[in-house]
Order: sequence, then structure tokens, then C-alpha cells
Amino acid sequence: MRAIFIGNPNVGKSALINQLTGSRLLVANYPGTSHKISFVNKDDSYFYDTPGIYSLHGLGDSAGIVRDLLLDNTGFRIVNVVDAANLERNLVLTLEVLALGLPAVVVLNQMDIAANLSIEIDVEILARELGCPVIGLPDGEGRGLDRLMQWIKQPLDSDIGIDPLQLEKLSKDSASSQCQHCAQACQHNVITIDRETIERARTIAARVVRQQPAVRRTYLETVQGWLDRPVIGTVLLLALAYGLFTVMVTLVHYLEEPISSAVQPFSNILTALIQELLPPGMVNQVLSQAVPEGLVIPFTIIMPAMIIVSVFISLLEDTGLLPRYSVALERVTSFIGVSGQAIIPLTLGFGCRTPAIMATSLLPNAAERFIIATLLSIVVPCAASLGVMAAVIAKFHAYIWVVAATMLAVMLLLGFGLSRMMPREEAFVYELPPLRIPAWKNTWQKVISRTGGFFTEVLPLLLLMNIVLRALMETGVLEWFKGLQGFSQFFFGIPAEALVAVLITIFQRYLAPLVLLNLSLSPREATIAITMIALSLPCLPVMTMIVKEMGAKRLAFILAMGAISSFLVGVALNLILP
Amino acid sequence: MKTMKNLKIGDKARIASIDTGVAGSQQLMEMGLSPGSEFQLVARYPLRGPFLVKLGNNRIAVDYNLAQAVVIDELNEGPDVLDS
Repeated sequence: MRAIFIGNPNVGKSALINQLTGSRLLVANYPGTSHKISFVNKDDSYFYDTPGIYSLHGLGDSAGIVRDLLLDNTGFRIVNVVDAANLERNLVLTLEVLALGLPAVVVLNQMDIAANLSIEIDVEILARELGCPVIGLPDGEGRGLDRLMQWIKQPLDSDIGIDPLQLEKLSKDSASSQCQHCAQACQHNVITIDRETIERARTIAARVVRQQPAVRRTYLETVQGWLDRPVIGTVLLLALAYGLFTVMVTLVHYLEEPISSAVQPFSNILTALIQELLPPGMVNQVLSQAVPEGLVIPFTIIMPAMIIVSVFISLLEDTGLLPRYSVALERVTSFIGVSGQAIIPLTLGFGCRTPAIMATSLLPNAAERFIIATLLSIVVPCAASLGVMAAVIAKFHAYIWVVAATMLAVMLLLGFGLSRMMPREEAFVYELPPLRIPAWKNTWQKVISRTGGFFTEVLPLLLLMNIVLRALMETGVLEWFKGLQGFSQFFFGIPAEALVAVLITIFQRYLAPLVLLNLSLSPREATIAITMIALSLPCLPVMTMIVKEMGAKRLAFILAMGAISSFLVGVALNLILP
Repeated sequence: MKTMKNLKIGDKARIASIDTGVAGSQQLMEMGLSPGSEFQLVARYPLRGPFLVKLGNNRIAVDYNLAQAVVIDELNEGPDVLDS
């Protein structure tokens, strides 16, 4: 059996499939979390999760993706997930879906939230009006979920297909919406939602919804009331961001010592073991130093930062705070030529930039996606890089404000320049989800999956690179770079070894600062070197993701921009800094 | 002709028409801000920032340009209660 889940953005389609099947689709409290079709297979039933849409006949990539799925398949049924607190608007899509003539069920989701808003919905009358089964969730007993599962598993009459008239309409929509792939807003292909459908949705909603005026506000609504005030809200949100950042830096700082002393015995044993087992010689010397070091540094410096950042980001996502930043900072993102939603991928980038590149798909057009992918690649430091950067800054007393201000300046300049290169009409329309207490299980799962990369990617790569670096030092290959001393000092005012560290960003950005830790640098040299590293090339996984999402040509451009910005920043700081 | 731009915080209005030549107007209508629907202005951000409107139980942020494209045909002083 195959069931396609269709509904407005942020109504809980992915969460519902997770509940039904035990799958782990990514869930967050903002519209646009899912941006492509994913499917889950359980007991020979297929559950298709789709990106949220407002209308089957709408513009935009998401509506196109859903239309293609409907057009390319036969023999399926539709689960239309509806937000009970916003029935009228949701019913427009419901009526469009029912017009297709396929077997369909309506799931009235988030009934608990609707109840909090004193909204009552007569499920029976709704079912009669729509002419299809309606299931209210959550019902507290899990019976609704069972009923839904039974309905999905019913045998299906395979002859049923989409109503021919509707089929034609869908294919026509898909053909005419092609035009919006160009960066310019294109006006001759406007698809309008049927006025009659909107009117019918209004009439039905008026018949089945009873909303009492709220007796008293919950404390979440009070908080939301303050956050959605322009000046106070913005100040509160910025204060929260600053607070979270400070907490992270402080925690990482205080955790370093205890973790380091906890790991030290293992490191000593490992050193002794390698020295004992391998025949004396260079291999022995390299490995006995590099292996313990390559294991200790990630645990003491990178792991705490990764865990703390992923906890914070998951909380911002699940509470609905993250999309509020997109409204508060709309003026700033507008300066770099992107709409407010761009705050979401940019913030995710502080965790890990690979999923952040994927999240750029919630931006309205290709030009904005490219601008944000460039900024993510060159400027935004991921948790792993933040960890090592903080360690370098602390060790050499580098000027943290110079580093931060330079990064911010490069981000604004780069965004401003890029957006002027791609002129287009900007628009910002975004639905703000209500604030929510996070579903702790979901938040926890996200923290786990976000920090999983530490063991699968960060740890092995760091270990490997550390061995390579040690080998280069021992064999004297690094000495060869001493020839660059004059060049390096003249342009950037840093020793040749530090320049080598900058060059290492070609392989993996968060490895580069490790080299610096082994050098003796003045605060000025460290500041210049770490800023050059912070503003250079993306790491390999990010490069792969950009090629996949945007193509190799775009990546080549980003890499060139990265190299140029790193070079220019080095030269500029060398001239400016006393 | 009054547009969303002329509203004060707390005002309620009904949409008369939307200039479909403005970028994002299509998206606006898909979200339910279409001719005939009623909304309340919750907040407007400074420096030509976005407008935040309440439509049913939804909150939708709309940029300044788009707010100018939304023509309204009715104006009444809303109650002072903006929350929920």
C-alpha cells in the first residue's frame, strides 16, 4: 500500500509519519523543514513525506515536486494533514486534494493546540461536508493513529486514478510554472487559486469551527507577545543569541581541563603501547606522538563545542524561536540581498555546514540559495571549527574582536557584492509558527544525529591528518616551505609555517588551526593566521554537497572567492594591525 | 486607496485586491492573504522592515514592498489585544 502525505507547511506531516512507522524524518518547528520527497517503508506499506504546500496549483518548487509525484504514480491513497488551529486556510488544499478523486483521509492534527486556543471543531459535520473520513489527532488514547494505520492498509482498488480533468490541470500547472526557475520574477505565468475553492473553504470552516474568545493567555503566548514586538523582541532575540554564545564559550573553556585530564591516562597508555609494539624508528616516533594527540585534541576541544552547539540549535529549531530571527533580522538579510528565511540555514551552519547547505532549499530562488551557500562555505564557522579557533585564540591571546569583526565585514561585503551581481526582485513572505515547548525526544534525537558526525567524520579525519602532519614535520618536508618565509612575511606578516596551516584549509578547514597550536606565534600573527583560516575554503563534505545541489561550476566560483577573500583579508590585516 | 502600509498596529482590515505585479504576491495569496480575507496588523518593524499580520490563528510576516501591494477596503479600530 502506498500513502502520500500532503499538507500545508509545518502541520506535522513528518512527525506523523515518524509516529506511525518509528522512522526518524527530520522534524522542526518552522515551515520548510522537509524540502523533497522522502519515503518510509514499513510492513510493505510505503509512506511518502512531501514538502508542505498551500495549494496543488501553486508556484514554487515545492508545489511542483508534489505535482510531479502525483503525476508520476498510480495506485496510491492520500493522507491530507491539516492544522486544526487554522482550518479555513488548510481546507483550500484539502478541497483541491479531494477533487482529484483519489481515496483520501483528512487528519486534523494539533487538536491539542487548537483546544488551547479554545477552538472546537465538529469532526462529524466536517467529514460529512468533505465526504471523506476525518481523524482528529492527538486523541490521547492512540486510537486515532490505529484507525489511520488501518485505513492506509485497506486493500485499494487499483483502477482508481486521478480525475482526467484534474490530471490535465496538474500537468498544465507544471508546464507553466517552469518559468519561475529563472532568477527574475516572471509575471506572465501567474497561477491563481480558484476563488470558488477559497469561498467553499471559508463556508465549511464557518460551519464546523467554534472559537471562544480566549479566557486567559498561556505563558507561552505572553512570551510570544513580547518576542513579536519589533524593538523589544529584536533586542530580546539578540540578547538570547549573545547569551547562548557566551554560555558555549564559557562551557568549552571550563570543560577543557577536566576532559583533558580524564583522557590523559588513555593517551599515555596509547603512547607506551605504540612505542612498545612498533620497532624503533621514524614510524614509531611519528605514530606514538600523532595518534594520542589526534585522539585527545578532538575530545577536549571539538566534542564539547559540537554537543553544546547542537543542543542550542535543536532547541532554537523546535521551539519556533529560529524563524523569529528571520523577521527581526530581515533588514540585515535584505542588505545582503536575501530574504529573512536565510537566517535559518545560516544559523544551522554554526552546527554543521553540510545540512545547512541542504536547508538553503527553503529560500525562494536559485540566486538566494547561491548567495547563502557561498556565505556558508566561506564565512560561517561550524561547531568543529569554532572549537579549534577558540583554542588557538585562547592560546596565543589573539584579538578575538578583530577576528569576529573581520568575519562579519567579509560576510556583509561578500553578500552585498554577490546580490548586486544577480539583480532580481526580492520578496519576503513567511509564516511564523507559534512558540512551542519542544518534544524532548525529537530534540534529543537531533542532538544525537548532529553529534554523530564527530565519530564518523571529525575524529577519523583529524587522526589521519595529524599523522600526515607529524610525518611531514619529522621528515623535514615542512622545512621546504621555509622558502616561502619572505613571501609570507611580506604579504601577511606571518611565519611560513602559519601560511602552511592556511593552505591546509584546502583539505579540511578545522584541521588547519591544529598546525598553529604547534607553533609559537605572537598575538598579531595568530590573529592574522586564524582570520585567514576562518575565511577560506569549505571542507570536503560541504564541497560535495554544493556540487550535488548546485553543480561544479558554482563550486569553482565559491572556491575562487574563498581563496581571494582569505588572501585579501591577510594582506588587509597585515596593513591595518599595529 | 489604502494599503496595508496605512494601517496602525491593532487595526483590522479586509483585503480588496492585491497587485499581482509585485514579487511574492502569489505566495501571499497561497498563504491565505487573498482578496476577501480579514487580518489584523500585529507589528511593523522599523527601517522599512517587515509587517507582521495575524490571519485567523496564523502569523505571517510580509515585507514592506508587498505590504504596499495589498489594497484594503475596510478599516476599523481593533481592540487593544494583540496576543493569542
